[in-house]
Amino acid sequence: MIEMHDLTKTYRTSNVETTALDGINLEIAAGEFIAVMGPSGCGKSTLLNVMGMLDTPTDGRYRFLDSVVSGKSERELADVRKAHIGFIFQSFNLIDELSVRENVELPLLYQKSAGSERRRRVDEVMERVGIAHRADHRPPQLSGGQQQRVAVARAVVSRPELILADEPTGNLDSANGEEVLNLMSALNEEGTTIVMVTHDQSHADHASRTVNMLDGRILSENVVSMATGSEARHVS
Amino acid sequence: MFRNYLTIALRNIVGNPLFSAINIVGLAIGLACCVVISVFVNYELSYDKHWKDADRVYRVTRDFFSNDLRLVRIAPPIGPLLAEDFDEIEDMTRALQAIGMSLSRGDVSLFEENMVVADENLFEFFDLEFVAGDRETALAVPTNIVLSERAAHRYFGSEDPLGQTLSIMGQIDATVTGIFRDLPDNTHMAFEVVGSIQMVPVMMGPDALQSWGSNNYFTYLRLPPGYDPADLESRFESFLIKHRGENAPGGTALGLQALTDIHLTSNRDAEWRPNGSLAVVYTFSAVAFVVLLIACVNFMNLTTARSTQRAREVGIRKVVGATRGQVTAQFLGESILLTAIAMLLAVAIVELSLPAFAAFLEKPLTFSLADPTTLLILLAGTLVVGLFAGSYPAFFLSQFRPVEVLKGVAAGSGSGLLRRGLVVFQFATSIALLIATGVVMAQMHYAKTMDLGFSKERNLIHALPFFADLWETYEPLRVELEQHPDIQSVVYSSRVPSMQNLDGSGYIAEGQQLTGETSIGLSDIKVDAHWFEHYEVEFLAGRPFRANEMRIAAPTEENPVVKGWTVLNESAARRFGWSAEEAVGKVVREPMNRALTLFIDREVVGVIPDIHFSSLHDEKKATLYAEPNPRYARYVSVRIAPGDPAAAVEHFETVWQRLVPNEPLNWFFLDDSFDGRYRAEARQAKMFAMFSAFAVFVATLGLFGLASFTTERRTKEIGIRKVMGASVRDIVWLLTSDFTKLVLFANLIAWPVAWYFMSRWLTRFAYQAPFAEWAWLFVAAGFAALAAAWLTIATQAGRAATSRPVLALRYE
Repeated sequence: MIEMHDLTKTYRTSNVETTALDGINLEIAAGEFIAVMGPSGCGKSTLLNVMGMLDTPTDGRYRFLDSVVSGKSERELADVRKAHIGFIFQSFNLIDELSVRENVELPLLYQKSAGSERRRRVDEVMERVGIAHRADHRPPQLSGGQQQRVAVARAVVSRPELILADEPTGNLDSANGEEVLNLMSALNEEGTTIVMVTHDQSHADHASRTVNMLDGRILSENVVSMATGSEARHVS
Repeated sequence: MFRNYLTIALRNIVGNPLFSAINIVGLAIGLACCVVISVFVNYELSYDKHWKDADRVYRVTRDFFSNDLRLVRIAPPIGPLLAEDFDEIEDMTRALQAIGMSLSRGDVSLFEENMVVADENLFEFFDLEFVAGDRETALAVPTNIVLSERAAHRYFGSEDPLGQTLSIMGQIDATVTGIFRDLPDNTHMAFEVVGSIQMVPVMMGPDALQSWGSNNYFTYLRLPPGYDPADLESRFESFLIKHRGENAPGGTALGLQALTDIHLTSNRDAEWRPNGSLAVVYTFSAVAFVVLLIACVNFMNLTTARSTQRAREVGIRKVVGATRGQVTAQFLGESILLTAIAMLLAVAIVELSLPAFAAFLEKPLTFSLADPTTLLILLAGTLVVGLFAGSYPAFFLSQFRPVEVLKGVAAGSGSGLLRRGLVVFQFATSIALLIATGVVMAQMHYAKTMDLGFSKERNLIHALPFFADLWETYEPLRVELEQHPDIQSVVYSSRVPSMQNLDGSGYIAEGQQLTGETSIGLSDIKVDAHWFEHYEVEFLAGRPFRANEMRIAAPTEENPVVKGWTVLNESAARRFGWSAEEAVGKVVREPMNRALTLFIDREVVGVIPDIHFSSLHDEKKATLYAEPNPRYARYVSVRIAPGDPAAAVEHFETVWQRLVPNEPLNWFFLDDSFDGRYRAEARQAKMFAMFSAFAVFVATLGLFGLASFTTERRTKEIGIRKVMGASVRDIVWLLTSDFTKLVLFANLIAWPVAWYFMSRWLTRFAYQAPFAEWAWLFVAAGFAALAAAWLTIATQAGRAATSRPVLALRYE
């Protein structure tokens, strides 16, 4: 699903050049649950942004669903995003002026799906994440856990093949965090590919593979065999 | 999707009451100004367009070079001769304003201000609608008279006026033969009573309609469709030579004015009534537009200033698949929605204020939403203003990159430079408008208080009867009036100050031959011996007239040169090349016939300064004062003692009604009449003041919003600074210094602009308030703007500065 080859991202200010991603090689197959770990500033979020086409790499090759991403226009990227990718953020990023239902509905609106279909899917996904009873509330009226469940609902409502989650549990207490992770695991079991940035090893344990990053590079990848629970470590 | 946009737009409007209120109120004021001014402009542009063939009707004008007269009335024989000489003239009609006429019916005697005598075809020429009588034959008989509906009601009430009689000046019994619909207000003409032009020879002598010297007849021509009036104009010179001889074009010229241009562009001598002004139309359009522009700038500034609030939303929308175009469309939609709400409010403001505005301008302005064109224009206006105001914010907000805004990297709150530029623009225009208002008022004040060279106070003026021999009416009136203790003096003159004086003719210095070059055109005013004393005019040299210099014999074949006397003003003396002292004792020769065989040799007995006879628009003219002449329309001036004038006025009315029973009372006070000369300007000054107030208000509103957002954004900074020990004053200065610099900078732009426009405006006056009298306005306007800005910001800053720092720091 995702192939990154020698991917580099540098930020340039007038006199400082910062390398956020430094020669990333990464392949992710459909159906994987990847956890990306590493200290602050190691490039995790940048990797996720590039993966989600919110940011463009400085160099290297990025293929998504067998097509080359680089060189696509802003509009084409927006089309790829809305068709295939759902996003979940640490800070939820809900629109305060819209109700829960309207927030969840947003991606479908940009996909121009029909009204009845839209309502059906929004109801379904709200039910699924257990937020249906707050459908007409606005985000500020909800708890953090509830808000993140709305964000998950919004991310999955368009049935994307890939969900990118940037520290989805970072602002949640452990009970709520666990709930959100269980939701993501369930989605993964249904076939959705998930890439999740996290600081928490216990959360990473939900993933089938962990990518450890440091200073813009991938340090190691641990594959968790779900059957045995044993780890195979590749050092790159 | 549209519903989603609408939802978020409405919730944003409701959720940010300060932001929304500032924008909606500002835009509503701007839009209301524009709508009101459009109604006014539309009305001004509608003048005379409704007449039959209005696009090919022209008025003939006549200029006299020697005394700089630019008349819109011409001599009576010119019209018929033009029609005779030039085949392309399809039709011609003339009208003479019969000023000073009184009409009476039984006991009712009224001074008729709006009477004309006209050619028989006047009604057909302009296609005036008749409600009674036969339009084609109504003026076939010289003693027929036609009334407007309003005039008919005035004299006959609900009776049928047709066939009834009205007495003109108690001398002619005229039969009412027709009633026409009242003229609309949007025409340059004004008449309610129309008599036949054939009355002129009856009343003023058989040759009256052949006189080339009586330039009192409005003359209109209809030319063929598509015909270039310049073609005809180019042949006027040969026309004058043919009828008036080789020398005629040296002294006079004829011209044409398009009927539909008269109201806004004609500012000549002796118009029907004061016309409008294209400059005023332009000025007020521009000012209304500026108010709207300032409101649009508010929207741009406030929207971009609070963009951090919307940045996350933009980021999310883009993450879930919105294109930049969709985000742009959303924000444009929001600004259009906001503008639409403002437009509704503006329409309400217009509905409420238009009647007062119309009364103020004395014009029947109307505004109706039922008119589909109006509705369409309002809709289009909403769209255009919404798109314009929203363009920059939409462009700015839609370019946010989701990675940055979602990461919480400050999205920037808009281009600081541009926003500062816009604030400077708002204040510069406000300051310039304030200065302009001040200059207009300073000039008004200057005009009203300047030394006119004579005393206009406590002067009651009344026109004397038109027909009677002057002395028969005047002398007994004067004697009786002066018996009253409150009446100080009574004098007579051909014109009174505040009137335009268009009387004049050519004079020569004694001993010179009269030619085009030696003839000196002077205005003339006929006065009685006490006139200078009455008006408290000082003499530069010589003395006033003596009583025995007031009646002189007319020159005859046997005695072709008679002796007379004159008082000149300084300019007139200078025209002859004399100083005031030199002039006294010199002789000025006045030709009395076209053949140049009869003269009056006038000895100059005195020289007075140039006095401001009419308004400050007109230059003081070189003027010759001479003895009364019963041929001219005459006025009596009554000087009343200081104090309550009521008793004197009552005495005047009683005496008048006894001595001049046929003449209705129609007196006025001279200083009111003088003030009336500046009514247009006084009105403009008020309108200017009003619009400037709106502009300043809307700009201040915007600054208030901007300051509140800036303060809000810097809450944390303020908290930290206070923890570090900053005082309230430090904080207030921190927040105000920035805007202070902007307002000061705005002054630098506003001053030269205001100076340029206002010194040009002042050139409309022959006598202008000197710069020293209005220079302080620049500083005052600057301070006013600064004070408004400071007050606005300081309240915000003060609140932020006095709050407990812990509250600010908990904000994060």
